[in-house]
Amino acid sequence: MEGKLNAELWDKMHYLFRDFNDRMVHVELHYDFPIDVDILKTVLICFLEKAPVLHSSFVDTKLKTYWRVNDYNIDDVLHVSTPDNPDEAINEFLTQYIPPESKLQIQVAVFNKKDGGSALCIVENHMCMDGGDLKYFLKALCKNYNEYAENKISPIDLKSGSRAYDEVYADFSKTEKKMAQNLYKNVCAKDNHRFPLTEDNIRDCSFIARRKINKENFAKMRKSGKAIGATVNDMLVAAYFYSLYELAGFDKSESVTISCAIDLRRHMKDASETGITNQTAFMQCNIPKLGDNIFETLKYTKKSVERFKNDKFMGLYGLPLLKLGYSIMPQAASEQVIKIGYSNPLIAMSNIGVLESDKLTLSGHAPVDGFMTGAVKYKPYVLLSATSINGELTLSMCVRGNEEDEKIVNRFFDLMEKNIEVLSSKNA
Amino acid sequence: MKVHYDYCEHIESIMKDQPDNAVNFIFKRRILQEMTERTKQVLDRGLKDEKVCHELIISEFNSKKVLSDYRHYIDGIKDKKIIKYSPAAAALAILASVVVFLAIGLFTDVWHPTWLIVEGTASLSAVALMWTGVYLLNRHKMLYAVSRALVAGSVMVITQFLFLVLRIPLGIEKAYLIFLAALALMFISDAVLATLTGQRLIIINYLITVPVVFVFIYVIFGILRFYTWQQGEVLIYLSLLIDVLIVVGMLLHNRKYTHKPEVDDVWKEN
Repeated sequence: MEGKLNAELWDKMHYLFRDFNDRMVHVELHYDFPIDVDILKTVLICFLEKAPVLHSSFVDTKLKTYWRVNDYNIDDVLHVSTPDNPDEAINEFLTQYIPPESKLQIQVAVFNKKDGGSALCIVENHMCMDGGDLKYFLKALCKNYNEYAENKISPIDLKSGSRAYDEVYADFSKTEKKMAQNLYKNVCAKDNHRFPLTEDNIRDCSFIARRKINKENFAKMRKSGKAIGATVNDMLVAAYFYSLYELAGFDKSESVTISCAIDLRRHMKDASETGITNQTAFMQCNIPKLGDNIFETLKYTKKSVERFKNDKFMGLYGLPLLKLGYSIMPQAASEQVIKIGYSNPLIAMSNIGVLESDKLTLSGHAPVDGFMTGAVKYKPYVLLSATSINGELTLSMCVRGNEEDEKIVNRFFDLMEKNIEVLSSKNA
Repeated sequence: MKVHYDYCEHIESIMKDQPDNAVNFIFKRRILQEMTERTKQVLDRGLKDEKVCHELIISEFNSKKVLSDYRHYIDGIKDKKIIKYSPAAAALAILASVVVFLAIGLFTDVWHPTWLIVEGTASLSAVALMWTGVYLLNRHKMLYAVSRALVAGSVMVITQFLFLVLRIPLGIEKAYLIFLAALALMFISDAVLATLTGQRLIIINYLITVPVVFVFIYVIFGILRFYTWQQGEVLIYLSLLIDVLIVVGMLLHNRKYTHKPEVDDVWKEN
């Protein structure tokens, strides 16, 4: 099935982000049993056939862009090994970069451990799908794996359909759709506050820093959130703000903005008719000042988030403008024009949410640990990702930096932990 | 290769409501060929379970895809017929006009300006071919620029014929003005094409077309001395007024679809 696929709006936008991040999305899931590689291969082939964008190269002719579908062999996608040091092997695998011109846009690895367990790791190009659809992809993979392993049901149950950005309007009424398509607003993050990383250096390497908030503390956080009427997301953003002011030494009276990823599928009643794609935008969560304590920061955060939640067209601003930019000009010119109006957020957060272990069970074995994280950002840009599994919360940050940067990020995680603890103390 | 599913039965069941003729037989054979090739391709990619492979291919060639391919196939056949027969029809029409021209000449000894019959037929044939091209290209968004060129070309071909008619049998001296009118008509037809094919930013077409057309009207009627050049300037102002009205109309229309977030700035209170 050699052929071409349309390069959709979000594919092009993520391609444009090449100056800011490596566009890889990462998943790591640990199991206490050895994954059946033959079954996994069967499922993966079926999924790649259902989603040809995963075995396509992105072609940029400067006039236009498209995906060229390539031939492949499953052994180029799935890598199986029994490393002496699994953590090192996992890190090495996860920090790899898949160029958009590559024949495959996804890499999967199974690392068998000497204790009988195994780790399933996936790295894929954000241009193909975002965290929301990767979560769906993972759940579908596990469901199909189990049905095939237990009942020999063919693992072909993966959604396929249009990857177009405008599927987001599909459930709007005619008037709502016209209103949404008239939102020609240039959404850009104007805040110049930076995460205090070191200067860029040619020797910088990609690393994924992570910090776990254990079950007990995460439960306390949720309970406290309920007591004070805040969501986990509100509390995380508030802790993020508070930790940032502390870490970077921002003046307490300064206003700071954090861009938070929002899943545009919230506007769709049923996303199962669309193909795997990107439907993520950002909202600018802004606080006017730090406040006297973290609870005041939380109050400001909630107020800012509320503003977006009240908006029927949350996250849809700017899409028509981007579409227009890419429609009326050749690729190279449209990129230059969009770059003039676009400013990449320096500080961002993506709450990927819960990785439901009951839906990620393989052959009756739920994952014992795992997390998902966004792209490796290039300094000075940073993205904090948050996922939870088995009641534990994992904060992660992927950075192209040096050892000093790793120390800074870990210091930031220390502050996050401390501030989450303060927020969680409300119900104690 | 052990066959777990009968692709023929699958194709037949999807195509059961379509006429059972030779054209459809070729289509069904083609789909069967594609399914067989895809099966081999997927197996070569490393899938070891043939049953899974067959079910995967059946799901890929579902009724929606097969029937959509069928519609494209039928449209393709129609297009091929049009491409095949249109030039022949045009050539026949021109040939017939030559016969008529010769017949008139031989029987009446009138050779002028009856040659316009041949010229007119050739012009109309060329226009018909150009419009056929526009119709065929309508499905290919990327070739919209070619459609625009064909429409503009057809306007010019008609114009040169009308010029000959006005100038030779009717003897109108200022017939050359029709070329100025043709330029205006090219802009109008471009706007019409953009409207019919639902192009984006059509408003820009309108905003350019209106003053350009009025400038040509101003020049043509000025040369014909319908008014003094100074009096005619009112047409230019009128065109600008129409442009303003178009913009206002568009803004009023879009106002219905303007979304105002409930809270514009939550920090105003601070």
